Amino acid sequence: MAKYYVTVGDAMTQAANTFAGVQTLPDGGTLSSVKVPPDMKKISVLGTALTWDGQATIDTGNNFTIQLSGTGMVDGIQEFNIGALFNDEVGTSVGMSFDAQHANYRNVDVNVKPGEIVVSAAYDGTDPGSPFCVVTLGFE
Amino acid sequence: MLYYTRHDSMTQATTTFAPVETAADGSTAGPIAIPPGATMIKSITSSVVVDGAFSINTGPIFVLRLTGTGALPDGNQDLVLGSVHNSQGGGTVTSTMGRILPPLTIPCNIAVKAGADLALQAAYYGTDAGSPQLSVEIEFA
Repeated sequence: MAKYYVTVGDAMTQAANTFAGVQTLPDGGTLSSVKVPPDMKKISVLGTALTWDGQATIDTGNNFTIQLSGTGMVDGIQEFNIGALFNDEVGTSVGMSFDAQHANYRNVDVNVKPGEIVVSAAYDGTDPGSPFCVVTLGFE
Repeated sequence: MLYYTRHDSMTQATTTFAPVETAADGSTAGPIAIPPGATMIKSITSSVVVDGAFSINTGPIFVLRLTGTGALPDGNQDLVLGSVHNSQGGGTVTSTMGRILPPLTIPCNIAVKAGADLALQAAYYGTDAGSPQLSVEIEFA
């Protein structure tokens, strides 16, 4: 069970199939890499949430991937599927959509060592508008 | 096991933490006094809604911070809780939408120090949705 939790998030303004850093703290500060906390041996929990922070682009669908890299990774770069967004509209442009989802927490087993972990994210498909992802790493 | 709850509206700007310190009876309870004998937070359960008209084309993501002087031997902990989204295309839309959400429960093992005050704070990424309202339950063991 994880003992130590770090959260970063960011708007994903990059093109499809392109990793970009996820490095904004919830208080607005910048954390370009996560320092592995003292005595922590692995990431055992991965918490994630996705949204469009703006108008969703209709008729788009995207799967999202998180990448962990950096000197703190014992076994090198690791990538995780963190879910998808899709939006569909038929007819004239008067559509409205509404959604609320709690974060997804999953158990993982990622070996870490003293060092830095860089969190990046990418999506496939067509740019959905204003995708935004937030990631929580749980260490133990 | 011991269970405590706090809730609050989130009137602050984006990426800004504010206290979550209202009790279920509406009183300003403030931080949670960590009960005698407690050594860990075993789980965190939360839900979040928009208590008012939902600003269109917004989609914030909510984060909980655990903090408090001397309460957490391993320091502050930040956990993502969930997201909401409202999108509107062109034209004028009149609609009524509702949703029933189960809570999110996060099993954890966060060390605490009995007798200290555990403060809950919350923030959101992205654009203000209007009137977010967050509720959190802490399970001590």
